[in-house]
Amino acid sequence: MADDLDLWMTAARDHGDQDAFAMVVDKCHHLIRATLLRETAEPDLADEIAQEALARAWAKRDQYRPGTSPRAWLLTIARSQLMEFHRRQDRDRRHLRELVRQELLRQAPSDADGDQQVRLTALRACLSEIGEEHRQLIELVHSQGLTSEAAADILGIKPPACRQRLSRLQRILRECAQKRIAEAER
Amino acid sequence: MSEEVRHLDDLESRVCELATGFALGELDERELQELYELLRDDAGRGPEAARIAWQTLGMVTDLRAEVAQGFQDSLRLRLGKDRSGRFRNRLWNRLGFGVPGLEPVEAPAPSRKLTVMAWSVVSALACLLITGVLFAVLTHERPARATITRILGSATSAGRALIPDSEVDGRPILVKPGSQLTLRWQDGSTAIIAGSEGSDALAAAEASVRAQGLVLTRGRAWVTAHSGFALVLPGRSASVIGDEARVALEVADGQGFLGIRHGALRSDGISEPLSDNAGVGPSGRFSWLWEWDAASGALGSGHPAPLDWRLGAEVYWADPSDSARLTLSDAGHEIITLACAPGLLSVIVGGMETQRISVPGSPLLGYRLELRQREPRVLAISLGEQSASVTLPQTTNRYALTMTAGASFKITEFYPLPDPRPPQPAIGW
Repeated sequence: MADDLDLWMTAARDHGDQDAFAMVVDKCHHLIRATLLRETAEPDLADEIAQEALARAWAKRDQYRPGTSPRAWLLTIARSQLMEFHRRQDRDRRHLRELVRQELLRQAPSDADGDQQVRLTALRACLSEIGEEHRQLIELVHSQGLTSEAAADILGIKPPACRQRLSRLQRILRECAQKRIAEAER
Repeated sequence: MSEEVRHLDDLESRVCELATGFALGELDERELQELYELLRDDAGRGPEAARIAWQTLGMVTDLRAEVAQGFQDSLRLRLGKDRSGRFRNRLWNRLGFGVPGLEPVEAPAPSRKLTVMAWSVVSALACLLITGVLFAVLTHERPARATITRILGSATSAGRALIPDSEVDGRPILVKPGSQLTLRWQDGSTAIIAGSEGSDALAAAEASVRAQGLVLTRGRAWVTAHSGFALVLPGRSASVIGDEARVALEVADGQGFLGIRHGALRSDGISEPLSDNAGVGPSGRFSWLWEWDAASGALGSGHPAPLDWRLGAEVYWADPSDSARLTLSDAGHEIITLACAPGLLSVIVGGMETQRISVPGSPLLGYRLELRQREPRVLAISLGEQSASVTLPQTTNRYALTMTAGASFKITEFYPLPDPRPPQPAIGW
């Protein structure tokens, strides 16, 4: 896989191959997003910075050195974008949302939350066990990017109930995934 | 802290809900204030609230990564029309990779009066058409057709990208690596088609539909079908009998495998009908069970082991001195041992190390180990991003798998082909 990533990134660099770059993005985006989440405490912000980083990587693809790790290169760019973000956001520091974010960062967990691949494998198994209505809710919000209010409209429920349902469902999925991981460890 | 948050469970529920709203950017000022106060709780619950909030944020990111995945080589086209990959759609727009736009269409030529010659051609075509329709009606032949009900990722037929609610005919369908396509036939039978593991062109699934059947020439499929539904694989064909059957199909190395989760079917070359948990492959019939009996080390205790199987494991290290051993044996006779250590895997055959695979990066990084035994004596080993192939000293179908590892070695899947479940969650599988 490492060789594939290098080959794809090299093809993107040498030939402007968009499909090859898409493959690199496909294999690396979760790592970048998860890494940035731990630095920002905000999924949307992490995604925004990840997008900026990947767009920058495409624009600066000629700076990639073949034979090195595209993952490490992309992470370096992502961290650089993050520092840039920190420099820009001073004026918003007193906003309540920013206060929540800073408080979360102050209490960020010290260690990584297990192996990403194991977590995703367990989560995938748990997703296969939920009902169609729950799956639809997950897809509307997390895949299609609808607000919980818009999802509530489609599902025919009230917006507060929709967010509560989503929250409960996420909690169930987390507990299910943790249980699966624990069982596998035994 | 809010009045209603009196118990730990209440705290968890409320923080989960607020953190979900925070992740979605939907909290109003009052809710933001509440979350802030929960996180700064002077009564000592702040750290617990923060832990729950972080778990929720992590789950949101994991879900987004999981339910909106499927970036592949024909991504540009898919991203232009599929709203499901919101992260990647926005990325693609930002990158400026254009989706092919509408091409100008030439205005149709003005109609002309049909000449006598043209009338003759039209009449001949009409006769042919009527004859064809009559033939189809008289022979009750139904067209090969199925409706696309779901696409995760990208699939094409006759060079065109497939979209939900459209139909496919008998022409080959290509499902790209990492993608998953669901089809529905008129009688209610359904098939989920997915490519194999990997990202190269050969990992794509290739299939075609029949009026009441599926032909799979490459990849994997999971079919829920009614009586009479035909399943065609390289070197094998089968037909569903009874009310409903759920059947997994896989083509690996050009050979067809078939496993019955529920129901019954009749397969060519096998006189007895096959029913629940029966599998059939190039070596014949076997018990298609994917529960690993840790005590005996066998797939489905009490059954002869199939020749083709796949194992996946996650290996973790806490200390540089950790190690794990995985041994494949036949009637107590060791065939092969894989000795895993941080950053290293040794292949031991006949007591001697024959191969050594190094894992790049920090030695304490965990890795994923995948094994695939192929008939007759080939064991493919994939370790993280490295791979190797080992020729076993003898053929066996009476192996046992034992391991000494402790908590650092977790077998995540171990099953005889075909793959029992689709890669993406699907109802009934």
